[in-house]
Amino acid sequence: MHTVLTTCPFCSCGCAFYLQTNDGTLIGTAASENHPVARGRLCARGWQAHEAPSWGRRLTRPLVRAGGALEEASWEDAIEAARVRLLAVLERGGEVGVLGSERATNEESYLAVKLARGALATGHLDTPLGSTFRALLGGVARVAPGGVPVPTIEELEAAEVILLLEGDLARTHPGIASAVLRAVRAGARLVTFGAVRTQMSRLAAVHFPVAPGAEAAALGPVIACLLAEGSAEPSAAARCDDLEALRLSLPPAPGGGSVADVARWVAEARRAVTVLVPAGAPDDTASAAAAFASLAALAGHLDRPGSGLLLLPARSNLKGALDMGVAPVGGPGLSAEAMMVSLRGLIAVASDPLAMQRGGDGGSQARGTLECLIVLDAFDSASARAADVVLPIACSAETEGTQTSAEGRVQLVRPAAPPPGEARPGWEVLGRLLEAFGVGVRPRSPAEVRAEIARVIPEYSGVTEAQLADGWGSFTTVRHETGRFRLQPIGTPPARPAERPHLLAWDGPFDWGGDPMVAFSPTLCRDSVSWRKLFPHGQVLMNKADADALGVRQGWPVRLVSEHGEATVPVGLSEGIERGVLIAPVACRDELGAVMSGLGATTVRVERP
Amino acid sequence: MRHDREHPLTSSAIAKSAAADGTPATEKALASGGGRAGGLAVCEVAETDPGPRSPTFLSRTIAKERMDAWVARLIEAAEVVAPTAGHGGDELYASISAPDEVLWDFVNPLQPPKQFLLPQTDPIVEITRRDGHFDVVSVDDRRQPILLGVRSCDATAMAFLRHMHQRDLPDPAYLRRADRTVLITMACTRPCSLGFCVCCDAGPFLHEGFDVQLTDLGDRYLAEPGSERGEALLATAGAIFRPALESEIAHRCELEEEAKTRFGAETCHFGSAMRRVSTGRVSEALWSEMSEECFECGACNFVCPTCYCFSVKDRAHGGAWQRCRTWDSCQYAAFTLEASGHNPREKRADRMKRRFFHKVSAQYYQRDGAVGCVGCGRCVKVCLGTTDMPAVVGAIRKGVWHG
Repeated sequence: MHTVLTTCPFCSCGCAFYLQTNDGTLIGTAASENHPVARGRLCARGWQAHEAPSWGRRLTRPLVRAGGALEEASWEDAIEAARVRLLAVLERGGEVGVLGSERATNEESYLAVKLARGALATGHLDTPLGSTFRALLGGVARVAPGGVPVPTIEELEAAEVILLLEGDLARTHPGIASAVLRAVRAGARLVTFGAVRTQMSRLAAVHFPVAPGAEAAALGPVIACLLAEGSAEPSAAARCDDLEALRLSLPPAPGGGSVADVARWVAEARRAVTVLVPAGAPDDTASAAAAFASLAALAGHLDRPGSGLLLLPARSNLKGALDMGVAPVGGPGLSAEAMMVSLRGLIAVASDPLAMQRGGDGGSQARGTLECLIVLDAFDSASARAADVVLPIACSAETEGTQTSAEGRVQLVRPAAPPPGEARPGWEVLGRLLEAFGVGVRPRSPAEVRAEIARVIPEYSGVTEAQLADGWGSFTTVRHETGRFRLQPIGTPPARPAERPHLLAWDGPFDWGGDPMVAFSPTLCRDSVSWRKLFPHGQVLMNKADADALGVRQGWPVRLVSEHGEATVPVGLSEGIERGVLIAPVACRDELGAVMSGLGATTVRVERP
Repeated sequence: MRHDREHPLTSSAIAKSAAADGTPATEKALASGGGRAGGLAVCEVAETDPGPRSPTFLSRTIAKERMDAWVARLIEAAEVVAPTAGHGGDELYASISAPDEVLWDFVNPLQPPKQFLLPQTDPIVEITRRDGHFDVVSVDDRRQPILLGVRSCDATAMAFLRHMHQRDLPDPAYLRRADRTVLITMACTRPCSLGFCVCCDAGPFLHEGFDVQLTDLGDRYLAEPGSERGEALLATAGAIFRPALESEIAHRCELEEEAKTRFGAETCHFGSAMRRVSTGRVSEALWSEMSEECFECGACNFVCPTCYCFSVKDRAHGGAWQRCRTWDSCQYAAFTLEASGHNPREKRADRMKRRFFHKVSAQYYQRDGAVGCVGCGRCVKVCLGTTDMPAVVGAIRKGVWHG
């Protein structure tokens, strides 16, 4: 049996483990006792990391669509077909784009950017979840345009106060939830914000129930207390601009109670870390991030050692993809959501745009305006089945490359097994595409791509091969200038119209059950497969008291009517959801898409059909 | 076998346990019959030892500088698995191709050696379609590994696993592999920081359940054969070993006694926990409270040397289908999920209660002959939450959860 140390491909905690193989087939996962993040621990997904690559339906041969059906082709023919078909779209005046991936390595993302900008001369470049994390960064940047340092997970565990804005951290980022639990056991005070009672909220000293879209407003009373009691740190407050505008936007400070407690804890703590997980509409996420950043700025926690804001990308290498430049360019660049309906040509790298669609029918109308879809992926997917050219690549267990975790740790993924069939590492295939388009010579190794990244992207200039190979990775160097902070006024969430008094929100930015690394793992997929069998017509989750008021019981149909459309689905009851809020599982986007628009919450009327 | 030990609910055991509840584990271990032998090493034989008499084999000694020569011979004859250095100080059991790959100065690899008897993915049968019918062939990798450097806790667990795979409906795939695997153990003269094997009768030294037990005597190892196979292994090594001196055997016995005094802070007073868990005296509220600090990662099941729960899955492999046994975790919601959609253990608290009932109750003790724990301490290390064995056993005993 052979073992290879590699980095986890699931969430962005940045854990590592050993993949075990027998005769070139993955058979198991073993924890790393000394890894600084994992420290011998892994979550359920990590423990099953060896499964999807060998149990999943893999893409193993280059395929080219001819006469309506996908046929096997040689690599040369497939690369040439991709080139010719994309150029044809461009010659007809159509727009093309590149959809990168949160699970691609930095090297793959970097080359994808080159493909978009260099080969195709397009600014249409994004990852499916990019907008959610960019919103967090954007919100913080409003307050701290000079940048802020990123606290490490170790610093999180040593914090005295932790503020957490989450969906369900124990499910989305178990490693970070573990660090939070450890901090609480060591005496830290946890304050949670969210629309649903979660495992973390039950650990919290104070939980703020927050309607989706009202996260920033929830912080208003806390900031008001901080200012009213004069407990905002003077030297920090002196570096803050626009204090009056913020003050005017705040509600009156409550005299006491848990809000005042929280304000006092934040003010008195020497080490306070705020953990933000994106959810909902990018605008709301950005406002929430700005509000938490303003609070941290006033309390002096924005750039003090041991304090700060820890922003959590939803998936393993979303941060790396953004660092490499996989993002739409300002004006004309389209985001992932818009690409599917506006472009004529698309290269999808390790992403499944068809399956990610929300709204309308999903599936069948999926290809929309696309005349040419090129798919690079390891796993069979809806997009691969609908593609014009399929280029099979290695999954993260079979390739060499780097990933950047939430705390900015750049680590290697190392190949533990060979890619199946004729699949090749993604960096190699992207290199061939670049060469076919006449953009330079294809790289000979991932190390060569890394050397270029180090030259081109300042934050990665300090990442050395030695640290990657022999150590536990290397942190990106975050540039920040100790400057002034621009406090942001707290807006009021729009009032709900009388005819639509409830709020319907997605349960997260994406559905883990649909991710190939989970869906193709026989151990991990059971929950979502079973759930889908139980709820073949979808489900919406509702507060039990609200359901009682409506006169519906578990499993009964409810009609949801919004300004965008309506849908009738069975209801699931929960005591953990705030009153007036309904949760739409992302797994039910086909059934509920008509009612929703984009990622954000929407006001709805709930009726018995 | 440990099933011959005194039942924990007899009055003398309760008395000992009660005394132990207020005293450190070390004293409890000494009170429960330290220094007893199974007739394998010449230590003081306790008169209360009801265990079957095993034949006495000839203990031998090997100088440390000759170890490489012996390992080289073993490698020539068989696949040898030993502790090796992983990345950054990690310890991993791995197949070695040269003696210098062995990490002699090791504590205990985090991934237990049970993986060589019970791999995380274990193909059991191969199914091939041919001419309209199916060929079903048993998978036998024919490996006959020598596991070198297995700790007492893990070896004790292997005896437990053998018992579990032998009772009721014997598992031929497991037993075949277990029968072929040679165990060369390394006694613990320096207990690991999180271990509490003394609380489980699983260490720090073994008295049975090994082919050869090595003890580090400083500049040499004592090698005690514990089976005919172990005796033969040492005999074929010829002059690399020499017969052990009385003083060396005495030294080994001293080291065992000394090791028992050197345990760390983790303890597990199973006796009183067993009484409470077996008589329904642990409240639902306590299980709920504890389960709030579990993240359902399954790590406890995977690294536990006595856990063996599994699922069965088919996968396509090389033109055929492989039906595989795969590690599973009773802490996963889907573990007991039924085809109807009903889940008898939907709440995490119920899953946790079940796990500890299986591990610690008198009912299972009577059925299986041992507590479902060997005190290796791994669950303390790998738990994403705070619900490791010592913590939960402590909570069961006291009725209060401290986390």
